Amino acid sequence: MHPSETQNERALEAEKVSKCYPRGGDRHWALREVSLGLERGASLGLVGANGAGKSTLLRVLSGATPPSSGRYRTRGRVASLLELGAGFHPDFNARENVLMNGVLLGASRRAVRAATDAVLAFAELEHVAGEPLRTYSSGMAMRLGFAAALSVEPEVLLLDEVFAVGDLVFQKKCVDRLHAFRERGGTLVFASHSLYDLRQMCDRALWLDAGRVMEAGDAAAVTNAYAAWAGSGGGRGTDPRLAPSEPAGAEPAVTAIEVRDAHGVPVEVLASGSDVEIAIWFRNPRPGAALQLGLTLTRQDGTLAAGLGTHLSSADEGRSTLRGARGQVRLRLPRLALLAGTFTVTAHLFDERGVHRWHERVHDSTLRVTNDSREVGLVRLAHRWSQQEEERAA
Amino acid sequence: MRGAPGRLWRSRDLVWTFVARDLGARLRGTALGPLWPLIHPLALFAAYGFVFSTLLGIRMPGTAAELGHAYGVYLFTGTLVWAAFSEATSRAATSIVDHRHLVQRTAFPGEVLPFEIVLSTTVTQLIAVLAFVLACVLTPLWPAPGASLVWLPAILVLQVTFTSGLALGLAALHVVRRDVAQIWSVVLTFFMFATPLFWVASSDVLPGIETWLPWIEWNPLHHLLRAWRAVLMGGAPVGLFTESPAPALLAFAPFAVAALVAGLGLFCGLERRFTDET
Repeated sequence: MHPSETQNERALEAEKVSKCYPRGGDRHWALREVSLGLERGASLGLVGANGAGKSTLLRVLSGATPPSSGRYRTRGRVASLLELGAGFHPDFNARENVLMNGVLLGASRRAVRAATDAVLAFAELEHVAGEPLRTYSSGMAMRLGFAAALSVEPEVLLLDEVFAVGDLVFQKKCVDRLHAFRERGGTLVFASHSLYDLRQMCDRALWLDAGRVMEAGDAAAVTNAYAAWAGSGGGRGTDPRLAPSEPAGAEPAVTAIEVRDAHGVPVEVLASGSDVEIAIWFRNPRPGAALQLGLTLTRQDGTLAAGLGTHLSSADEGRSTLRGARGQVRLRLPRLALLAGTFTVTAHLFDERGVHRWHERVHDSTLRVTNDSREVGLVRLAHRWSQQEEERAA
Repeated sequence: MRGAPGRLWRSRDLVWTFVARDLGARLRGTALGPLWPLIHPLALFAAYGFVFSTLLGIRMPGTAAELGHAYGVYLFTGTLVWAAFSEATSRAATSIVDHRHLVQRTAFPGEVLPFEIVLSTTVTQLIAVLAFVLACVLTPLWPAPGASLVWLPAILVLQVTFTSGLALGLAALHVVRRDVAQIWSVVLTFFMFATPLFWVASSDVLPGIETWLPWIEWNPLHHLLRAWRAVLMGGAPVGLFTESPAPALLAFAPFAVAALVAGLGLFCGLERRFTDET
């Protein structure tokens, strides 16, 4: 197929796909009439609680298991990372395992052999390539699995929670690799519990619960809807902002975010240097436990512009902890130092020590900062130029 | 059902990789490495020769007196084929279930698993055949097989056909009924004694066998063993084994085809249940 022919074609299509498993003499519907369509180059995130059907959907789309009813279609080579390091054997060395893994994912021996050096380089395992896999740490083996799976050059990639691979440096490499994959026109389906990763990687999202599609559409909107639902105890509450008297959910949650200008008017566009106030509403069903609030501003290219927290600030800046069953926190940012750009505002609710993250909520609309000056960069640093003449012309 | 052979052919790289791994895995880390597949059959050959011919002095009627080791050779050639058959089918029976992590989570043709086991046991068997030929050439035990070796490809194709059929069927059945592998190991025990492995299907050797001979014709392995022995022992100047392997192969072929058709049918019929029930 020529790229021109497939440009606007759907890389992935599912129509009323259902999957039923026998379970203890009974029938368990893991998927119920799930429909989706994904253009070439698009990326879809799957969210949902454990057992919601995310993995089953990926398994059906990968062709590993046939749907009980419904139809699905994929175009191009599909690679799934549902089983990281498929076919790995502890007694064989890295090269042999990469070969097995690649061939299992559908590549030819010749193609895998040709790509093996690049795989080893990406996994940073060239120096131990001849050693049997059993001598590797689990992190090394996972790195090898990830690198091998990405090397088969798929057109559609199905990922299931694989970002817990390797150390932070390697995770960053994986993310870069996935971005490169998407830029080449690759289609991605990605199931994750990390809503942050999901929003970074995907433009669209599908929220599954008990095998049904709860919501599908824009990634930020769907993940927020899911986070609100999960924060309210899973389906028993509605949108917390709309129903202030809803029964308390199981876990602390950020219920709303508002960005306001100097006059207290909610805004989406702000001039660099103006005063800003961000209001954050939270709910804490365990008022006994104190909470910490964090706020991040992320530019559209993924650069973290600022990360503030009630536990990170000084006493002058209002260092505090959040108490009470519900409340509102206001963060004043005088003379906003950000330069032009579009920013995502995310509020994070942490435990008392700022270690465990209870909840995060992305502000529904992005914040666009404009500036009149021609300065470039992320922030406008407070500054002053001065000049001293060392020598006066005679 | 028509899809499975085609898929096997398209995944020949995968089959070959599995076979290479299967053979390699057993030799990993051993000092003698590739010599082991030769050492095993040679040791077995020596043991059979010593026990049955030297110690017990069992003689095969109808063979030349100088071929005192006929019974040992007879046993060895039978064991060679039987070992490949029983190992392939019993390992294949659990192959799908054993690889459930692959079957459930990756889209690869499941028939590769039983099939590669059949191939890798056949390779092991061929190494034993090589060991036998070497022993015949290097020692005066038995006249080395000569022209009869041209029958090897035909025998191998039919043997792989037959064994693959059983392997596919057993592997598929075991997914649905986990007793299958156990039942098969019991069946194999009876099968072994019902096959002329230790005894000779000839009334010249065993006078009491006469009434059973028509029944033995229904045992496919009887024909397979006859063919193998005709090839491997056919170098003897006189006696039981100078027949051509052709009639035995002709008798075996329908069994082989029937086994493959039945096995493939079972496999393809049950395949949809693999991911859910492994």
